[in-house]
Amino acid sequence: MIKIKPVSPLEGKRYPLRERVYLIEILKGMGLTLKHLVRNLATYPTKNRTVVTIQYPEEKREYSPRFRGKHRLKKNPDGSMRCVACKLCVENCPSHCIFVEPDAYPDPSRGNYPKRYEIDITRCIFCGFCVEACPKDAIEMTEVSEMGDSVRAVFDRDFLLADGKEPAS
Amino acid sequence: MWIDYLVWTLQNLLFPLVIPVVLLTGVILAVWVERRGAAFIQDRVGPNRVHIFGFRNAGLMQPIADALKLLVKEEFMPEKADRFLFFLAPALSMIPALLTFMVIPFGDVLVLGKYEIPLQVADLNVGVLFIFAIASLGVFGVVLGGWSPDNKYSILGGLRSSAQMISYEISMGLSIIGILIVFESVRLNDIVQMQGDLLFGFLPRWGIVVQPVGFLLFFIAALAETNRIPFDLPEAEAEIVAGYHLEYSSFKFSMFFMAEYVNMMVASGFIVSLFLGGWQIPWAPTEMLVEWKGPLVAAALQVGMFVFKLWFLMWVFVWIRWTLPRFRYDQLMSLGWRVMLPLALANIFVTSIVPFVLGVY
Repeated sequence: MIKIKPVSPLEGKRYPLRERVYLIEILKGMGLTLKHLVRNLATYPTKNRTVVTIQYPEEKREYSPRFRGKHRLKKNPDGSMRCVACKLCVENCPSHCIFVEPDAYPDPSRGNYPKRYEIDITRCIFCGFCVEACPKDAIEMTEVSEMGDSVRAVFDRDFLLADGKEPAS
Repeated sequence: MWIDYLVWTLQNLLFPLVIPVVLLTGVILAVWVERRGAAFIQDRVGPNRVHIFGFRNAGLMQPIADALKLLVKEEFMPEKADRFLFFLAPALSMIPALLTFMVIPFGDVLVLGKYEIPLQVADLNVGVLFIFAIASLGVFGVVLGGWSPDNKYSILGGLRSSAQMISYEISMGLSIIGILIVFESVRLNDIVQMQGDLLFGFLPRWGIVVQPVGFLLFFIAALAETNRIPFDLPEAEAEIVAGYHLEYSSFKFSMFFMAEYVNMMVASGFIVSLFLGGWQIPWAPTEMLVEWKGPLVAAALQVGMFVFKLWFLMWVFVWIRWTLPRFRYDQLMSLGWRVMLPLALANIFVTSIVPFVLGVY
């Protein structure tokens, strides 16, 4: 007859009787869970809650100031675009999500501006290389992390200029 | 006399209709207690979003929303399932769960003038045996639920539960014999009545006081019978997905789900009746309460006491679930056969010997 012996990970090691009886240890464990429950319930209505859940839409996690969120195109003090459509961000973008179509100002001394500046936000990996590459410091990344939208996958120039709000048009 | 008919209706139609409804409503509360309790034990908040017209009520709407969601879900049936048994299994687990509560008294006999209304659906003289007989039928639901859908994980769950339920039913039955010896009756009402006495003039003669080992064994066996952690091997999400109710969806699944919680409530009610004095308020017998505020208030207080004790035990069930991990199969069997069975037999032996030694007889 084959004798099947249950294999225990603690084979050869005997616990003291107090622990082998289980019941005392179970009661100790239940004491621990009760301690957590009472503590969490008692502090729940107060300011310093011990529950770790962040109630998302109402409460938000604080991000680092260096957080790379939604892009923004900056403007000069006079309100004109800083971007000169040099396409360095396009070149530097590892996920090829930026599209820039340059156009020239009527005044030749003012150089170029982007006629179209589009970021396909569904492809963007938020690496921040576009910000690094920009010689004019025209693009930056904000702390905005909520970009969920059912209609807009590509952020166009005016949207990016308008600081992520609906452009006035 | 019309009032005779009223009393008759109350006893024979209203209670059997109302008690299942109360139990199923209790399921909602039980699910809420379970989920929120689990959350707070684990430093979380738990479901608190679902609302009706902005009325969140600390997440109490969540079980209702879950039930509604289950009702409108697709009824799935595996191609090779045994159609008849597949339909039968959820009902077979639900009906015994609801039936067993019928013999549990939730208050003393309410005496209104010449009318005596027992606060109990059926005052069976074999109450304890009836509960055992019907509760063991519950295993058919689980086993057939595991067998009929022709799924390997389901059948493993069904196998495990049949082995587990048979093993623990023995210890359960034996652990109760001590109580039957002490109270000399299998009628739940008698047992509860006698628990109103005082031992040594101050200690309520509750089952837990006269039969502490029996209580412990019965409680553990009840955990196993209701498939609760640490004995939830038939479900064992991590190993066999969901065990016997794996292939069930929609309302059939919710039948299994509700049956589990109703079973918990029945087990709690049974333990309360046998070991925790049932509806007895300690040191306050019925006559005293009736003298104090009249029969209706006395009945209300007693029912309230019963409900309080029942829900305390429900909470202990939840509390244990979120404290302990699941047993391994060999540990389960070894606990059932090598620890609980000898202990239960020893308990019967000691319970039978002690009265002779003390010279009670």
